[in-house]
Amino acid sequence: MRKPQTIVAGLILLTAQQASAITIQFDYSSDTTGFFSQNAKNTLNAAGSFFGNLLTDSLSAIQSSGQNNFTASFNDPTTGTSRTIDHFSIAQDTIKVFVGARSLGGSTLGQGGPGGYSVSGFNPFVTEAQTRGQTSTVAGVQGATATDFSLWGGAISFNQNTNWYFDQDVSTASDLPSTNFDFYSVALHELGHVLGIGTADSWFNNISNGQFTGPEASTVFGGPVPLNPGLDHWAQGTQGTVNGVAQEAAMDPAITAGTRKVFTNLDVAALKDIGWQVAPVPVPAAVWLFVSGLFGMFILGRKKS
Amino acid sequence: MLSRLSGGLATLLMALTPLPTMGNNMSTSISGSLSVYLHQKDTSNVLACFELKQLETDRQAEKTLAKPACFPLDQPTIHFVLHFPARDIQPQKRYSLVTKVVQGGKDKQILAEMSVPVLTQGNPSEVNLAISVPPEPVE
Repeated sequence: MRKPQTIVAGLILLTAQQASAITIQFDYSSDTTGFFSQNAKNTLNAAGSFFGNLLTDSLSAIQSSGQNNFTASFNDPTTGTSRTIDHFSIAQDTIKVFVGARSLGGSTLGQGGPGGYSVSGFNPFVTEAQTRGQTSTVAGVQGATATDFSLWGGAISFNQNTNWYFDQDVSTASDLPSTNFDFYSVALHELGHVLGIGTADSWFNNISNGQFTGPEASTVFGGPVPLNPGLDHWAQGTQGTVNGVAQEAAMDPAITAGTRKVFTNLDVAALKDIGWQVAPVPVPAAVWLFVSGLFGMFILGRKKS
Repeated sequence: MLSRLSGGLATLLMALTPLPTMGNNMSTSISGSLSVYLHQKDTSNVLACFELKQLETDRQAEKTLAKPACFPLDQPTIHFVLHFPARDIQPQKRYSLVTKVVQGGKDKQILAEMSVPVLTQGNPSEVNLAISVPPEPVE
């Protein structure tokens, strides 16, 4: 029989492994207006951690060196103008998201998407930089035959004029003021776009007659999922569930003030359909630690008695 | 707003023929492949234009050796060979192959642009290039 301490250590190790699958790294170098207070960063990090714990893909590193050069390109989130970063490198299993805020006009709360790039050098660097090991050929992540998605990262702009609520404890939404928009919910939504929902070719390759026909989402929804006219969101009001409780899906086009929308089973199914590998049950690391600690105490208690 | 491509778009030096050897030192060449990914953008009237620049420094163009050579991007990857008079290439100088992806009819817009050091000071004469134009952000 294994010792209780070994079991507890194993559970904690499991927790650590689940928590480090993908790291979403936020870059604030575009935030020249100082929108991102520490509270805003904390809330954004919570949204990043959600996907970090959820996604279990292995993304290969991009290492620009010598004649192998990767240039990241994206719309600067604060100015909206094109920005490039030459000799760009990024670590394994890491995605970089440039964030900023500006006046987006109308009722737009945020906008986001994956970045572009230019790459030159020797193969296999050129191929590897485009696929990050997700598929053996670039055609697997780009174009009409794409069934997976690869990215270095992207950019998100938030509306600087919105009355935001930066929740410092996203485990509960009970403190969310009815007049404020939930920054956590919008951050999850925009990160969904960065990760390919409504933006990846593998998303568009799963669309037929204005409906999303990905097998995972269709199974969860009970058939093809209706989309908005732009084909980049679920149709307004589309429902999913969170822990068995119905909720309007995070990736439909709108949210009302004073409400929280986390990723539903339908939103997660879409991530699977566009190629992401997803942890079976996304449980916050703190919960794992708590449960494993209780389990260890239970085992020790039984042994003493 | 995307800037506009200046100058004419004459196809002067580009050929989709096998790379000739330098043989008598009368010409030198740059060859390679270019893959362009436009996401869900309209792909009509898209061209890849190449030009060779002699550089004073890494960033300042001193001299453009030829007008842009342009080719329609009618397939995801194109292969190209550019020929230049060998006498124009000086070993002590730096050269950069500038690639622009442009779209449109009369008024062309640059969708993407990249520069790669080539030919001298240890840089190659054969290059593999890939460009992914960033998609429009989604709300």
